[in-house]
Amino acid sequence: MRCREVRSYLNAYVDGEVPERLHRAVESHLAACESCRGRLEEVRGMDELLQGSLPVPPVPEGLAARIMAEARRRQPTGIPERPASLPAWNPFQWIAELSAPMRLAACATVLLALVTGLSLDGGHMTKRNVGLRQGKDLYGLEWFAPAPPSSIGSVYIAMADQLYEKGTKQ
Amino acid sequence: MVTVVRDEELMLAVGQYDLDAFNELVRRHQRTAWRIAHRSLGDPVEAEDVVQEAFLRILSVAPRYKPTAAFSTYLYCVVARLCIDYARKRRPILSNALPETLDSSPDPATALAQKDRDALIRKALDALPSRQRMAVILKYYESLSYGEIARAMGTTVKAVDRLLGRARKTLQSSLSRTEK
Repeated sequence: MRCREVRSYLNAYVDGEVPERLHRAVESHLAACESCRGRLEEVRGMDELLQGSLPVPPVPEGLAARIMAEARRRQPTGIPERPASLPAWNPFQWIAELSAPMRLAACATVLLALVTGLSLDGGHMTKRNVGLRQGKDLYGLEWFAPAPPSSIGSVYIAMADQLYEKGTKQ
Repeated sequence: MVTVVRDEELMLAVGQYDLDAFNELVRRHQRTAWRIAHRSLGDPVEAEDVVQEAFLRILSVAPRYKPTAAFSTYLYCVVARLCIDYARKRRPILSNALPETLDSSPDPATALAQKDRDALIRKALDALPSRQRMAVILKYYESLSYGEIARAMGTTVKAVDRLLGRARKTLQSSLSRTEK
């Protein structure tokens, strides 16, 4: 091994961190190279200087007690603060959060699905005596704002009313 | 026969919100945390802040703790990183004030020389970049291996070797300049 390479390993060598296969090569170079041995002694000298220096005062009195007091303050019952429980699920929450036009469109879509289903099987449902109540009661339309005239919603509501009337006449 | 509960078992209990287990961990390891923090920062007030913060962070993450390594490794990691963060936020403290220590030497001249030497080393360490300083402290004062230092500092063994190499070079240079 060359001096430059050995010197790159000197710190690790002093610290006992050189892999075994390199350790022997470094040692045999050091045995033969006075310059590198000198450098090794400088590194060891620095280590001896550092070790045993910088005395540390005792742990401040009451430190553990202060840590525990803060720990209890953060966990008064020994149980960490859990996230606030989720609000009860409201199936109609999503409707309330929509803008008025979107609300109408959503309702119209639902209504269309119901109307389509009923029109396809209106007689059978009548036979089953499910009965068509007033469209507004059945579809819960009293919950919503009145559909503006000529709007899609108003058209669907009119269709629902017609079906209702047809059903009640049968 | 008294059975000593292992640190890792205590930590698992802390994860179940057992503050008595946490108290025992603090009792066992506060000295180690204090040593590292004090040598790294050189200021007792900051060192105490770091120690307190380190244990409270350990408490907060305890429910997610998995004993894949020794608890001490985890402690070193938390304390080392907090010290590096603290050091980066402030300029190095060049402190001439060293704590009074129990001096076993009967020779006042030796004691004085020791105190002077400690002051010089403190000054030289404070002038190092925070990561080099932490590597030196963990190696020379905590006797950790390169692998343990690498884990504590979140880096590689090769990087630790480089940090220590640079630190030694700088310390040698600054201490030999001072002696002249």
